[in-house]
Amino acid sequence: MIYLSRTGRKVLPGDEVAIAEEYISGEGTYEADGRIYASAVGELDLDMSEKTARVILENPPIVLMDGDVVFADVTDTKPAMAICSVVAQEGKKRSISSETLASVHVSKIASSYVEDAGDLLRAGDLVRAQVIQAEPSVQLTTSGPHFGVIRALCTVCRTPLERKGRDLWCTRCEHDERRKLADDYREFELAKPKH
Amino acid sequence: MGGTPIPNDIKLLDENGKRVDGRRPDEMRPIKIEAGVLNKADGSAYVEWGLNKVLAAVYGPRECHPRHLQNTTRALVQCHYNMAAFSVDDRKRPGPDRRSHEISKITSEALTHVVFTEYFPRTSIDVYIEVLQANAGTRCAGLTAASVALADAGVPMRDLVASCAAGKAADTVMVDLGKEEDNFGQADVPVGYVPRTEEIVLLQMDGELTHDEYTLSLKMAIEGCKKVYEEQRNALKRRYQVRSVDAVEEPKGVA
Amino acid sequence: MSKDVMADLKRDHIVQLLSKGTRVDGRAFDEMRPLTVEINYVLSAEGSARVRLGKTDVLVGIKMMVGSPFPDTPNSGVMTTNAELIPLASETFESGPPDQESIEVSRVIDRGIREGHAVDMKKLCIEAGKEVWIMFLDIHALDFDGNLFDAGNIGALAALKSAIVPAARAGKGEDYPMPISHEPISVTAVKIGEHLLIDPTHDEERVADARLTVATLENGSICAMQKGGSGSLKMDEVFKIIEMSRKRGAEVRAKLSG
Repeated sequence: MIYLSRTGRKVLPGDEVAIAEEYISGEGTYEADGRIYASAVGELDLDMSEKTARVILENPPIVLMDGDVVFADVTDTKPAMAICSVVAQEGKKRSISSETLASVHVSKIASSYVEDAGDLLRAGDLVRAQVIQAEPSVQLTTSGPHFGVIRALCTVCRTPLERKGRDLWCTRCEHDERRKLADDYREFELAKPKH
Repeated sequence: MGGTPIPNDIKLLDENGKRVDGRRPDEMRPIKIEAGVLNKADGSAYVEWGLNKVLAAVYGPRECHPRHLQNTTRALVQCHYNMAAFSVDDRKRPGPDRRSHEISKITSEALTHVVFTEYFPRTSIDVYIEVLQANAGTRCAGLTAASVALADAGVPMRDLVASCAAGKAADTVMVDLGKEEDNFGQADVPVGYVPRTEEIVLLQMDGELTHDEYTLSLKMAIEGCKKVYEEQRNALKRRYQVRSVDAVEEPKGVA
Repeated sequence: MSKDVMADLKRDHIVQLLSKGTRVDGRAFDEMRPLTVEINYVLSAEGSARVRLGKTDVLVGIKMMVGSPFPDTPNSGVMTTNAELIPLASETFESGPPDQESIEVSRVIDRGIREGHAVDMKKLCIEAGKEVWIMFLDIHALDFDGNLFDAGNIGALAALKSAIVPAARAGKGEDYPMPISHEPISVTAVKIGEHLLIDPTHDEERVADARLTVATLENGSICAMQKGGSGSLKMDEVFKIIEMSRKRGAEVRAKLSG
């Protein structure tokens, strides 16, 4: 049997890519009976230095990882944290295949001191956030100019709030509210989703 | 099966050993597979197999609904087999009947065997199979399409599942029964098969076969599965433009 | 729920572009998406058409059987329209019996075809008061990116125009082509803020305040309408949509004949 062990080769599920004696089975592969097979359509990567066989997927499911930028819906706030539901990864069309329940600790909302998470985030807000921990629970941060609330509703009448200086303004109830805002609050361009 | 008398004008096997549509007993109907045919789905496939036209779409892995079905350690593969009202001669009432529920169940089970469900706990991998035009063998075409759609969706799996049936008509064992052979024949054995590991993951049988006829039917169906498997792989290669050089084995010593 | 959040987000983006006079896909406000129609797609149907309108893809099939007429129309055939918004086509569709959305789609398409007298129902009578043709128009969504109303209407008309009444099979004489009298075409517009745009995509549909479907005939008459959405329309907006519907409807009609 000849092994088609060449980096860059396109492989399909079930294709044999290496022998388990020579490589460790990495992402996109699995080991069975001393051999390593591809588990998905993609490009083979035989990493000589780490002795790992990987397949770089053509159309990977979205599994949240540290550093990912996501959109999340704030569902509840407690003094110590805001509970969120991650709705999408920025720039991706697919729904998320891993845990979507996440939280933002009060110390990770802004770079400055925050007393209570509910001071700067409220249920119903939509935030752009970065994943700082994916396992065992998803932790997000909204600290940084590009992160924070990108759309908020008035806590009284649920009208979308408008930006007014550093704060938000409800045109209907005529009062201001404060949030940790992203620099493009209600003005951002939707990235073209990639398949 | 076997209960319906054969109309006089239908001859399931002629003097030359040819079937109603001119095939030999070991000859399959033409099969055409295309991967990635829909925009909205995460993965999709279209299978035209004889006069069958079947679409499959995969959504997920995604949050599992209804929530009580969630498995904290695995993804749930949920198949939904459905026939369009106009896919058959007598209009089918829309919505699932007992037959489609059964096919959905056995198809889900066949696919679950090859999918690495442990990678995506609490999620659901939803597979929708739509029969647009039916002409015997839609469960095999559906399973065949579904496994290409799963691969197109990047769902990690041990191998593709290929499917094909064999059976008996006019006292002859033959592969891939057509509509007349299915209606007026004597037995049908649909099989779902994982070629790499030689595992059978879907198996049904109805009608009457002797032990030898059954053995031959199963072997013929598996041979059919292997041909279907090649077409499934070709469809994925076309979709992802696998260069022919990638598919060719390298001479010894080069790698 | 989560998907609604994204729709809210997209609304701001869509409205911003509209205020600059453009749409997300670059179309003019009164421009339809590319349309392709493939007839006789399904051989098991008496007539069928697969219609692609942009990224919306529908398959319409017609099945016919002999049955009894309604007592109040003893000389007329019977038409039943059904739309299946199957989850294969979109993550926003769910399995199960038809919901309000799919019932509205099927009823609006039915209304355009029925009230526009697309089919001469009298010619679908076999024996007055006893036997008539029962016609099932089934609309199957395969890929959903908005505006099922128009894609379904175009598919229904194209399928009807290609259909053959299977009289021989039923032992009722010779087969004959579906008796077509008129060609009603519907065009749907949505109102987003102050803007009116036709043939909305799914995102446009989701953020729209109001929607109006107008079906017109060859002679410019109007034969069916449906307003949807919780927003409102002004009288001049209604007339503007009727005008766009006539113009674009005529183009679609020409395409179906060509």
